[in-house]
Amino acid sequence: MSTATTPALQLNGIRKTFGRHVAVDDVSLTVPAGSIYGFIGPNGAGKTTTLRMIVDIIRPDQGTIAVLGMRDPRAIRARIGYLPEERGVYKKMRAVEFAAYIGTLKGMSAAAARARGAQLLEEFDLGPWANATVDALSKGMQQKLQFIATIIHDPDLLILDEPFSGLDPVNIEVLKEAVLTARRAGRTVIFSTHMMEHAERLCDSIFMIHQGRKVLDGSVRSIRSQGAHRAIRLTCYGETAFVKELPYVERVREYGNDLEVFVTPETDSQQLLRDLIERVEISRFDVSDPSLYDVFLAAVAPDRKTRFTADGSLVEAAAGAPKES
Amino acid sequence: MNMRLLRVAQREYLAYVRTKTFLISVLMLPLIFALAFGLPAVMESMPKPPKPFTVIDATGQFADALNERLAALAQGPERTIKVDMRDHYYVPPETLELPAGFAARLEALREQTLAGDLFGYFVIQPDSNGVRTDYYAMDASVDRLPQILRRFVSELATFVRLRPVVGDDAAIAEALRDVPLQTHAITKEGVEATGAAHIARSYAPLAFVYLLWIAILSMSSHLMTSTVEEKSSRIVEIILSSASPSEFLGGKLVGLAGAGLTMIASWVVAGLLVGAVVPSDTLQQVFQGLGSAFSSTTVIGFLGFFLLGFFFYASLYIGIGSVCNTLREAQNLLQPVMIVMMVPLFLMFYVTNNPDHIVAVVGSFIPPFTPFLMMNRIPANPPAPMWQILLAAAIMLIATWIVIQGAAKVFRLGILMYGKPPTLPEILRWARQKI
Repeated sequence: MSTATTPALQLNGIRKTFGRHVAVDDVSLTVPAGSIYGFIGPNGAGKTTTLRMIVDIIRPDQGTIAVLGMRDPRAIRARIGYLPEERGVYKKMRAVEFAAYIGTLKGMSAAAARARGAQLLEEFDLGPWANATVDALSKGMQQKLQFIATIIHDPDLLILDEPFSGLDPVNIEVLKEAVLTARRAGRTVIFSTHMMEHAERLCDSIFMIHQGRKVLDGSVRSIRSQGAHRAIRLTCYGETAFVKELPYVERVREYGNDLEVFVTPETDSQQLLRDLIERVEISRFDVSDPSLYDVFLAAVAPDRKTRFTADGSLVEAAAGAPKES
Repeated sequence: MNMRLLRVAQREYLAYVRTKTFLISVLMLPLIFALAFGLPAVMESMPKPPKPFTVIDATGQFADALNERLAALAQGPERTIKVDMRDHYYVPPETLELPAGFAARLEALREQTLAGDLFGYFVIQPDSNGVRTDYYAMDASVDRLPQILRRFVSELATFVRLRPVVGDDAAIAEALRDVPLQTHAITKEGVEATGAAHIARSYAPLAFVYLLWIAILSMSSHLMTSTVEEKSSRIVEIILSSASPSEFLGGKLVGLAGAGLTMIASWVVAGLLVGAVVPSDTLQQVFQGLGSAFSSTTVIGFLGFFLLGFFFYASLYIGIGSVCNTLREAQNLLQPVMIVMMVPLFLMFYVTNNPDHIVAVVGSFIPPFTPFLMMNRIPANPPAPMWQILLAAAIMLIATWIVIQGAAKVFRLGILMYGKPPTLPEILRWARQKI
C-alpha cells in the first residue's frame, strides 16, 4: 500500500493544548517513506506529544494526521510499531509470550506471532530467555524485548521515542544497527532524541521542535549547510583574547585551549589561520559544517544566552558554561 | 466481537486465572466447608480421653436404677463418660443429718477435680423439698452430663413418688410417655420435615449474596490493581498504540468477567467434590438444603446479576485505577464505593428473614444494591416476584451501560495522566463530557 510516492507521515497544522499549556502549536511536516527521520529538541519541546498524536494515543485539538496515507486509527495501528520513552512490560509474562501478545494485537495470528517472536529473540541474543518470565530479565534485556515487541509485526513505520536513553553503549549500537536494518528493508523510522549526535549520525532528515513549534526541517546535509554560521574548531596555546576582536569573527566559544570560532559566511577560513599562526601555537585547525547543535541554537536562541544541559534541557546560560563572547 | 478486544480479554483472563489469588479464592470456599463439617466428624471418630465422674447418691433410692441407665449411656454417644458410683452415703430425709465423713469426701472430690484426676462430681441428697442434685466441676456450664443426670434423677424421683399410688412401674412408664413434636415446613410442593436441610435452605439467600459479593469484589479489585500497575509501569502506552482505549477497557472487562464465571463454576465443582468426599450427615443435609434453593430463576438470576454487578463495579474500579498512579491513591478514592458496597452485606440477614420489607424491595431497584438485594430476595421466602426481577435487571442494565460509558471516558483521559490524581468532582466532569 505504501508506495514510494506516499509519504510515511503527513502532519497538517496539528495543535495540542493541555489546559492553558500549548504543547504542540501548528506543526506541519512530511516524512518521506523509507527515510530515517529525527525529531530533535530539548526536553519538553513537544516531541513526545507529537509522537503520541501520530500513534493516536492522544488526539490533536486541530489539524490532521495521515500515516502511510491512512486516516483510520485502527488501520494505522496495525502498520506502525511504537516504542514509548517510558517503557513497560508485563513482568509475569514469558518473554516470547509478551512479544507474541503485542504481535497478535497488531493483527498477527497467534502461531505466527510466537514463531516470529522466538526468531527475533534469537536474533537479539535473547534466545535462551524466551521462556523466562520478564521479571527475570535484566534491564538491558527488557529493553531489547520491548524493541522486539515494537518490530515483531514488521511495521512499515517505526516510531521510537528517545530510544537511546538509558541504554548501555553496547545496546545503543545494537539498536542503531536495528534501525539501519529497518531502513534497508524499506521501512520508515522516526525517532526522537534530545542528543543531537545520535540524530546527526543516523538520520537522513531532521525535524527540529522547540516550545511546541517547528523550528526547522529537512535533510541533515541541507540543514547543516543552510548558511548557519560556520564554526572553526581549533586547539592552540597562547593568548587568544585577540581572536574575538578580529573583524570577520562573529563570536568565539572557549573551552580552555579549545576554541570554536564562528566567522561571517563570506570569510575565507585561511585568513583566520594566517592571523593566528603569527601569535599562538596551533595544534589543531578544523574547518567543518556547523553541528546540528549549533544550527539548533542559532535557530531557537539567536541571543545565544541559552544552552543545553547534559539531560537535554535548554536553560539560560550560567556561570561555568562555555564562555561566549 | 473485535479481535483485539478478545485478545486483551484472553490475556487478562489467563493472567488472573494463573495467579495464586485465584487458586486461593477457588480453594478457600470448599476448604471452609470441608473444615466446618469434616473436622468435627473426623474428631468425633477419633478416640477421646475418658471423662471420669463420681456420683454420690445420698438418698439410697436411685443408685441401682441410675447405674443401669449410666451403663446404657456409656454404650451410646456419651461413651467417654466414666461414672464411678462406689460411694453409698446415706442422709436420712427425716433429719437431713449428714453422715460422718460426708463433708470430708466432698472435699476430697474437690481436690481430685482440681488436680485433674476427676472431671466433676454429682451429689444427690434429700432436702426439705424432697430431693436435690448438685453438680460440681471446674467448668460447670459446658458439659451435657449434669442435664442428663438431672433428667435421669427427675424421672427416677417421679417413679419413687408415684410407686405408692400406681404400684406398677410399667403403668408409670406408660403414663410418663413423651409426646413427640415434629416441625414441618410448608412448601409449594407440599409439606416436609425440618432439619439441617431446612435450616440450610432458609439461609441459602445468604450464601448467594455472599458468593456474589466475593466474586464481584475480587474481580473488580484485581482489575483496579492491574490498571494501576499498567499505568505506573507505562506499559499502557504500548498497548494503546496497538489497541484503542475502548478495546483495551472492554477486553479487560470481558476477560475478568470470564475469570469470575470460572471462579463461580469452580466453587460449584469444588462444593460437589466436598459433598462427595466428606463423610458428614449434617453436611449432606446442608447440601441438600442449599441444592433445593437452586432453581432456574436463581441460577439465571445469579449469573445475570453477577455479570451486571461485575460490569457495574468493575467499571468504577477501573475508572478509579486509571486516574491513580499508586494503589494507595486508588484505595482512598475507592472508599465511597466500598461503603456503598457494604450496605447489602449489613442488610443480608434481615432481608433473608424479611424479603418483602419495604426497604429491601425499594433497595433492590437502586442499581448499586440491585444485584445483592435481588439475589437476597430471589431464593428467599416469599421470593421476589418475576416482574420485580425483570424490572430491576432492566434498570441495572441501563445503569451499568451509563457507568461503562463514563468509565471509558475517564479511562481514556486518566490512563495517560501522571501526577496528582484528580478529585472526585473532576472525575465526574470527565465522565459526563462528550468525546
